[in-house]
Amino acid sequence: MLDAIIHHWEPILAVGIFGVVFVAIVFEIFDKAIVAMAGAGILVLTRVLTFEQAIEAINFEIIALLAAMMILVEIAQESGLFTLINFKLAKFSKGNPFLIFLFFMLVTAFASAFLDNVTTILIVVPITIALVRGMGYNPFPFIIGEIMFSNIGGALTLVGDPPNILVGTMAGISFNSFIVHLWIPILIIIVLILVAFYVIRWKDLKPIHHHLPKLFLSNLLLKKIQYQFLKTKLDARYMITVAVILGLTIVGFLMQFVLNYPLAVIAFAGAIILMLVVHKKIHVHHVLSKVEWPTLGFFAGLFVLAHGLEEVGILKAIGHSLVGVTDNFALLILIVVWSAGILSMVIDNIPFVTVMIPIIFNMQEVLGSDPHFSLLWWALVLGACLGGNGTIIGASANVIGVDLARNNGVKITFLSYLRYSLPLTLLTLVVSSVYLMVWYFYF
Amino acid sequence: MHTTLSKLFREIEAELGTHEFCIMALEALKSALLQYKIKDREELQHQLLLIFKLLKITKPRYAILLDSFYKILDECETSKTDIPIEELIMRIDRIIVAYQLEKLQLVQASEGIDFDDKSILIHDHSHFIHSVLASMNQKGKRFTVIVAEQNMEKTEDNIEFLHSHDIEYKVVPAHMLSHIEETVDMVFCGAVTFQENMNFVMDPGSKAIISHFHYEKKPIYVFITTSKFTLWPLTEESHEVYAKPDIGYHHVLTDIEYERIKFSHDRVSVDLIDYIVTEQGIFKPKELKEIFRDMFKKRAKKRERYFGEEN
Repeated sequence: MLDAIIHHWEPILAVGIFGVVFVAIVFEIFDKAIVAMAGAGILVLTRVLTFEQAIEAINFEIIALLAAMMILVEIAQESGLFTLINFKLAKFSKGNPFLIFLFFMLVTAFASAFLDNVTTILIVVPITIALVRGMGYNPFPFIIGEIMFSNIGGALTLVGDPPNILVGTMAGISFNSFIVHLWIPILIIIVLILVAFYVIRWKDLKPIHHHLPKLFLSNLLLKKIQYQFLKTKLDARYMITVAVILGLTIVGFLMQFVLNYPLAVIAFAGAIILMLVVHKKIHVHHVLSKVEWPTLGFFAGLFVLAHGLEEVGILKAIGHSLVGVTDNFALLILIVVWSAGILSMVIDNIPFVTVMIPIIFNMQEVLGSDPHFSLLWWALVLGACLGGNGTIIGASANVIGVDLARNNGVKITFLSYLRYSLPLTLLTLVVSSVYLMVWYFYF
Repeated sequence: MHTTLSKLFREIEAELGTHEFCIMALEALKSALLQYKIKDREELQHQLLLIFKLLKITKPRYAILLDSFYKILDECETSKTDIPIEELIMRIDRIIVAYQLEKLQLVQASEGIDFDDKSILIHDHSHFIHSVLASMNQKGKRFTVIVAEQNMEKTEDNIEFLHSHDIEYKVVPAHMLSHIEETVDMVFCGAVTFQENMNFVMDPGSKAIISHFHYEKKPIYVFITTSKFTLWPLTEESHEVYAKPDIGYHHVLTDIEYERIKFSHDRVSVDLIDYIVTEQGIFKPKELKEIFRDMFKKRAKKRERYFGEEN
């Protein structure tokens, strides 16, 4: 009797639990990991899913890939590799704000293509504030730029941003395929955003070759940084070992089609080999404690929640109804890119993408024969990653970047961020749309 | 801009000491000149004067840096080339070498002090004192050091130095020195500068220790190069001691909050000192006053030439 009642209410329960979790995540009522895991637990308790179904719903490839990348990044950070890179950047910039901006933005974009965006922000923002403020400049445009470039760079590769990891692993898209299909729009967006920043904040970013006092101040600060860096006892051998293994892991990602291993296996192999090689330099307990377990729990919970929706047929219905809205495939691509973009501005893009993936799979049932079907995946990736730039709460990197700025005395409000981010994000979505349309109509 | 510059100066000076800070600033000026896209000689002079004016309003003002700038301006004025960047860089190099030499000469002058089997009390983390102690230790002189504990960062810097040079030492909190006064043979102090009112500017806490050991008739030595002398007339502002009130300081064990004030430095009369060790030799207070007055007069003329001002 009870089973019959529950069966009848299953779709409502699945949607209701998902909705409550979603709202709780958006309004940050509880820690999002707790909310997602609690939602998953309730789905099992209410028998919408069995325990076995819930466990099967968790994509352990993604969880393992994330954990392995966190271990690699933590050891790289402990080795001083990132300190060295930051120091070199500061040195090459010669204290010129024009070059500092250019270098830091490009490095942020590049680093976040291979590292987690939050990690990249944690590494670059503090040094930028110290460097830029020490020279008497306003760090504001630099921090906003770094936040935006971390999300833009993260869109380029499979491991760059969680939405990409979700799409890549669940849709079976290779690491190389991401780069091959996305480098053109990402490159155009990087150039456009750089130009836009230089135009808008020319006063803060212009070169200082004609101003000797500013050159003096900049060079003095660089000498100080150099002195402090040389005083820091860095172990060159340790750093080289870390750099080599990190490099080999990335090469492994690029060679995935030859190696024929899942990315998680390659990443985990890199992490384990690194821990074995540098075991005397690290405390395994400390390294493992740096793995963001709440993030992994959040992902696991979301997988179960999305599977709940899938199981009761909700996602299939949405997929079919979306396809039913229009028979124009180009319009469908635009709907995906813009809805992903706009929603990612205000809500966490991870749960959104988690739900969208099965929806797109369901669309495949109807549109699978269309040779351009893969464009829907790229539309989802571009929309979710770039849309995350839209507001201060659009992505984890934004929240962390703004927090770091505030802790260092730089105030970035919701509106002061929005003034730059909104037009620039819309610009990036326009570029993405044009790129996808050109691809659809001409290739 | 001068606020940023003041902050940066203070940070570097605290880490490196005044002398090394000045050398770092001169190296920075060299790099800046190499990157500077010069239009003409007048513009260069104008830009150098802009920096000079900034240096004159930093808090605190660094005498040694101003001293260097007078030399640089002299070079710029007397140079015969249209764009004297190269000459300026060579001049800066000569100034840096002279400062490095000054330090060596000061260490050499300190050889006149009898170190053997002495117990030396140190308090601040003067880089000159470090150099002198390291040199004497290397020369096989046998002495021990008592570190009067103050700001932990500075005390630990002293401990690190003594430890790395294998010099025998012990640490005593500064407010407990009366218990070991018998064992102290001489007191070594560094100084930030020496001023027109014949006061040394020193680390906070120095005045209490110097007064104490002056009363105990223990010889007190101050190590300072003449390039660090403040060669401009003192104003109200020059007497200022930067106080940093820490409102809302927390009691360790309870919730009590209170105001705690920290000061940047002490002013100590030269008359409390027995010997002043400089690059020119070891002087008694009376002799140092003469040297200072002579330098002060010469600087006044130079100041008049560049700035046409009283101060």
